[in-house]
Amino acid sequence: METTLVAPAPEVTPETAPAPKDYQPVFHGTGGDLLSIKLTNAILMVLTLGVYFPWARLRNYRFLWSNTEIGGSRFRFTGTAREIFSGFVKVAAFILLFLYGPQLLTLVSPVGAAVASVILYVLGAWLYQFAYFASRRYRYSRTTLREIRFHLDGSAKEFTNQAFAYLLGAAFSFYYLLPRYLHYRWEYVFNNLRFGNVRFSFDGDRNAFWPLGFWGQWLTLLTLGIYSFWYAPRVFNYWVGHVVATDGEGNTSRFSADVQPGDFFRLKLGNFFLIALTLGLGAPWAMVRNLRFYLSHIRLHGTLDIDRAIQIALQDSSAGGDLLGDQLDVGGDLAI
Amino acid sequence: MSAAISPSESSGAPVQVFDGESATLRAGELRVAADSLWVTCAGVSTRFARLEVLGIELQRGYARIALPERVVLETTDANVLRALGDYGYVPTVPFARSPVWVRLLIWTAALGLLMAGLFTYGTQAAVALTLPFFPPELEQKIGESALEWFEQNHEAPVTNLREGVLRSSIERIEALHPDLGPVTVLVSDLPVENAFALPGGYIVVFQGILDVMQDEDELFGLLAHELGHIQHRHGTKRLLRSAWLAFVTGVLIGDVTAVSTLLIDSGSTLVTLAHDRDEEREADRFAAEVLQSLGRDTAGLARLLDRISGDFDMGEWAAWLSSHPSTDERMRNAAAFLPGAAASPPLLTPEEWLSLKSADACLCSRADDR
Repeated sequence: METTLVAPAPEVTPETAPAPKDYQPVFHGTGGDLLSIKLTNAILMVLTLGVYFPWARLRNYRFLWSNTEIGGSRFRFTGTAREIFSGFVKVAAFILLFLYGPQLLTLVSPVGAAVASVILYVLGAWLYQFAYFASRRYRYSRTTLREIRFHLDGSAKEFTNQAFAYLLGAAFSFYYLLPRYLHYRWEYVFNNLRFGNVRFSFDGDRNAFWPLGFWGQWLTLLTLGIYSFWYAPRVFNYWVGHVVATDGEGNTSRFSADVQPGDFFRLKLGNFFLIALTLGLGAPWAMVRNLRFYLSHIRLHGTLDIDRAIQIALQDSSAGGDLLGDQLDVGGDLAI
Repeated sequence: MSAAISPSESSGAPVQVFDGESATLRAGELRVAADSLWVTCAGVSTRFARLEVLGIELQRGYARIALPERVVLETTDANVLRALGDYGYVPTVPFARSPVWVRLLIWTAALGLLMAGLFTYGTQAAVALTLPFFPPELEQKIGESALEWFEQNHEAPVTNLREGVLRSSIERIEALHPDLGPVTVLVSDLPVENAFALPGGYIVVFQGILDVMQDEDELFGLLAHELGHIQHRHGTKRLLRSAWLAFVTGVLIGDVTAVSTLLIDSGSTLVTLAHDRDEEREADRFAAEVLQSLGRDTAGLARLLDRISGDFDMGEWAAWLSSHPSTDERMRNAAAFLPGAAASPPLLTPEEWLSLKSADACLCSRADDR
């Protein structure tokens, strides 16, 4: 085999500069296929007393990634079960300490257990921030589109400390600083995200976001969640609408989202009945509905041409943060 | 790479070709043969031997083929997908080509059967394997924790009996079974017609059941029954069984924290969770053996149970759903298991019997410390 198979990409000249392009992501997976994966995963997990876990997770990820398409090509999750397993070993000690330590300590010393709980609670809040970043870093580093890798730059330490400080501020200010905290997390991640030579950035204004974030949280709380049908779509549109992608030649495209509260309400209501009436068996269909809904409301428009993205040398990252993030439930299956 | 050769095994199908350097879409053509893949791109045809194929990821209606030098092919062509399976490039997944609803039905049934088997036999085997490694000190702690939970939740203190009729009765049974280990007998003033045993050798007897007893065979039957639970470590087995069930369920739903919670909350678990029917039968058998060794009527326990169950006796068919065997069955077992119980000298004096029936007299002999 020789490597002359693939002809070099056409050179980019000012004459061939890309015209504005419009991209719309699509999700191809079905609830039936996802449930099939989950059922076989469950069987193998039980038979192996959980040892199958890395492969189960890998199947889930591959299903989600490989069924998501943009620009006529699908994403690819390149992580391996071995990575996931070694990541699990790394965080296992922490999980045991954090989840079971105080409980087991109650058998010996209830007072010691209470003190340990408080310490671990604070430590957990700090680690949550770390996990939020590390899990995204891992998933992005194992995500490719047309074999061009995504990558999350930035410092985990810087993000963790700053986000933790904002979180503490939010906790002691009756949500006053919560919008800052939420904004910072999104801003930091997207200002450090790359796809080959394409850089992402976030141009949202934290001051402009504050009323939406602050009142949204409070009204959601005060209306027992009803306001979330207005709040969640507005926040989603805000987050997505301020993400910009720019390639090495200065071609820029902006993401946009147009989720309407009525559509969002119908989605959630449908999902509720789908899960409740099937005693949970319909959860995979609900997940697929969610993905299709969100992706169908996202657009990428501008002069950026995915065709022109090129690979650049990137640093590696481990799966430990991903698993820690999973244990702490930081969310974001597709890392968005 | 060989020169352009036209393979005969399959017809060409469109693929996207990526080189790992740029995201440029390149249209190509793929032909699948038993021993190789033929890729044509930009007029160049390349043969990749089967062994050179680094990996194939298959999703419904989509395949991605990794080749050397970071070359990747992507296709949604149905013919290619079929050919990859037919020529064995991807492992044959059971029922992969069946309709989704058939697959779901099969996997659901398989999972259901697996879980049923695990719940029925798997946990028993796991308990048998782990029980020898369960430290007695921990059993003691769990028993104490269960007692604390009981006292707090029922606002009813239990009192340790260091002397008196119940203590001496227990000692008579202990003399028959020196392997029982230390047993602590406690009394609760609640008017409940019941008694229970906990890991660590704790037996709690309610005043309510003492009040309805009519003879010493019933008393010794009841105490021996509870000692039977201790002898066979039923409480610890229950706890381990619940922990294993929680573990298996946790593995399924991805949350094994329930196991530790269950062990920590063992107090409530032990007091609220009933023994199963087989454990009750085992304890009944132990009681019948004790009564026979003492030369007493082996049906004493069953008579007591018959009296306290009263109108609530469920009958044979409903007993199947219950944690306890029916009283009729227990009567039959007691009679059939050790027939011909002989009369022997009384185990208690009339004064001892009266003191047992009197709550005040019973209280006199109680000690506060455990």
